[in-house]
This record gives sequence, structure tokens and C-alpha cells, in this order.
Amino acid sequence: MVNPVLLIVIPLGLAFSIPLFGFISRRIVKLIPIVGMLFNLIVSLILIPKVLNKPIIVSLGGFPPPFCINLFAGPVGIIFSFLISLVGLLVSIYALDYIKVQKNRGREESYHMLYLLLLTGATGVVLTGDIFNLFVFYEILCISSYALVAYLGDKPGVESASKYLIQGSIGSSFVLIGIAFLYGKFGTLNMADIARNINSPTFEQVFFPLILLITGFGIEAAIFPLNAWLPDAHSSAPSTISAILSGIAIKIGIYAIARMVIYLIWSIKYFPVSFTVRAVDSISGRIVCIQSE
Amino acid sequence: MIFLSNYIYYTGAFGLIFIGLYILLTRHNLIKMIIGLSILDTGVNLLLISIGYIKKGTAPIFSTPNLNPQNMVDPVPQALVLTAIVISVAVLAMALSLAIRLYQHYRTLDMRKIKEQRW
Repeated sequence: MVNPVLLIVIPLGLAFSIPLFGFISRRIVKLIPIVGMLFNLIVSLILIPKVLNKPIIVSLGGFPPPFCINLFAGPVGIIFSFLISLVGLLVSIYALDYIKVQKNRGREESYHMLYLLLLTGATGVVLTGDIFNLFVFYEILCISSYALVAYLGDKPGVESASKYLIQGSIGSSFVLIGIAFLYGKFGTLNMADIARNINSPTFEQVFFPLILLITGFGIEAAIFPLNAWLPDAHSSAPSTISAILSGIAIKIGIYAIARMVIYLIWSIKYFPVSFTVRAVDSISGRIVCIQSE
Repeated sequence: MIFLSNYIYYTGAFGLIFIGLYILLTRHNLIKMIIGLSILDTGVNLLLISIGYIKKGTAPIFSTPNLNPQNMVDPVPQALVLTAIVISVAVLAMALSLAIRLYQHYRTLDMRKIKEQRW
């Protein structure tokens, strides 16, 4: 029996042991993210056929589900973790040579450690079944991506990272306010329990938390009016981090919004709203793209 | 006045949240923006605490035999706030270190003058 907890625990442990490996040899450090992502890839591949039969729910701490923090490894979560580990593996293979080019040898360990932490946060967001645990993993992802955008330490990197940090932390505060309202309304943090208690939600009941959560996650997902950090952060980050930002970090924001709208507050009448947002987002992106030189 | 005395913690929490947002939206100095971020985080923490608070409640520990469970303060939001404080400290440390590096590059912290990027 392979436990889905391993998908989070092994990369987290490896990430924090990277400085220790750095004492032994500088060469091992580069290989640690590849080992961690290869492990995640294999575990996700083993878990996919099992999960397609029946979702695996892991309760942590030895309490029954509504009271404990639980991991919900459904088909969508496991397939997302498979994709994250695949992208992470490919990018970390590319980073083997790319990070060496930068000629700042003292900080290689911090790059690989933050990179592995970012992927751990992303895997945690897609696998968790607890709304506050989702926030914690989301913050792990956000803080390591702020640091990685400024990794090179040059002028554009630091400037765009500080702008990204200010906007991103306002977004996380909004997410936390939304979680506080949901907890005050339903008295539980378990997503399945909230979804069970919320049957046929009235508009007023979920409007305020939903707006706060969508705005908060929308800043990380860079939905149109909230995307001011994105062009700078992408262009001034190292190429590997640029790939990870658009490949994983933004998709995690979209995944979190989808989880909130579809799974938590299931209601068909919100779909026209999300279609409109998506359409405005695409059209405005093209218009800005045509106007810029 | 009855409304204010009943909802004093919520009033304080939203007051802090809006003060923090106002500072973030109107100030241009990065250090002041970080202070606003800290006030915003404090407001969110106070909101979380006040959701689980009961007036004249006790701690949820059965220390003496005749404690009534109805009077106990909800311990879950306090655990959440403990985590949220740790996260906001990490964000603050990151923001301050970025501000130091930004000052080394530009010799100013005025975000109106730091405009090399397009957006």
C-alpha cells in the first residue's frame, strides 16, 4: 500500500536536507530535486489505477475525518500531482546546466531548496481535503516563488519580486478572510463536510466568501484585472522559474478557484460568471499583446 | 451603542483590515506598504479569533470538574491564527529583505521612482 502522504513528505524532507547535502558535496545538491520528482512521478503512477477505482482518504493525527486534517487523493488530484512532478522533473533536468551558468556558486543550494519547496506546496494544494491546509500549502508555494523570482538579485528581478510580493500577500489575506467567513458559517474546515452542509446554497450565504476566495486565488492565477505582477515576474525571473510559474504556480491558482466553485460550493448558476471572466481575460490579453511593441 | 458593544471585535478587525488596505493603496514608500501589510494581517488574525470567541468564556480544558462545555471558547480558530502568524512573519521577513536589496540597487524606496519595468 503506497500512501499519498509520501507525495508531500518526501519532497519536503529532501528540500530541508539540501543544505546538509551541500556540506558533503556541491554536485549532489543538483540531483536532489530530480530524485524527489522522480519519486513523486513513480508514486503518482502507482496510485492512478487505485484512485480511479476508489478515492483514497488519509486522516492525519488519528482523529475521524471531520475533526482531523485529511488528504483527499481523488482522480483529479493524483493526475495533477503526476503532471506537477513531470513538469518539475523536466525543468530540474534543464536546471542542471542552466543554474551553473549564472556563476554564483554560493547560492545554488538555496535555489534547489526553494524549487523543491515550491513543488511541494503545489502537490499539497492539489491533494489536501482541508480548506485551511490548502491555504498553508498555497502560502508555501507563494513565498518560495517570491524568493525565486528575485533569485538572480539583479535590478529587474528584485523590483518585480517586491511588486509580486505585495500583491500576492494581499491576495492571501483575502483568502484567509474568506476561510474565516466559511468557518464562521459552517463550523468546520473539512471541504467535504462544508459541501455536505451547504446543500442548495442561497446567493447571500456564499456570495461574500466566494468573492473573497476568487479574488485571492485570482491574484495568483493572474485573472485579467489582477495580473499586474505577471509580465514583469515572468520576464525577469530565471528561465526555469519562468517555466515553473506559468506551468505550475498559475495553474494552482486556477485549480484552487475551480475547487472552491465546483467542489465546495457546487452550483451551476456560477458557470456563466466564470465563462465571462475567462472570455474577458483572453480578449484583454490579446489587446494588450497587440498594443505593446 | 448596543451594536458596537456586541460586535466590538468584528468592528476592530474590519477597522484594522481597512486601515491596512488604505495604507497599501495610498502610500508609495515600500516600508510603509510593508507596515500596512502587517496591519492587514493583524486584522485578519483578530477576525479569526473573534469568530470563535464567546463572552466570558473559558479555555477548552477540563481543569475543574464543573465547567460547562457551552461556555468554552472554540480552540480551532486559535490554532489557525497561530499558523497564520507564522506565515505572516515569513512574508514580512521576505518583504524586508527584498526592500533592503531594492534600496541597494536604487538608493530609494519610493515605488513611484522605481519604474524600470513595464507594468
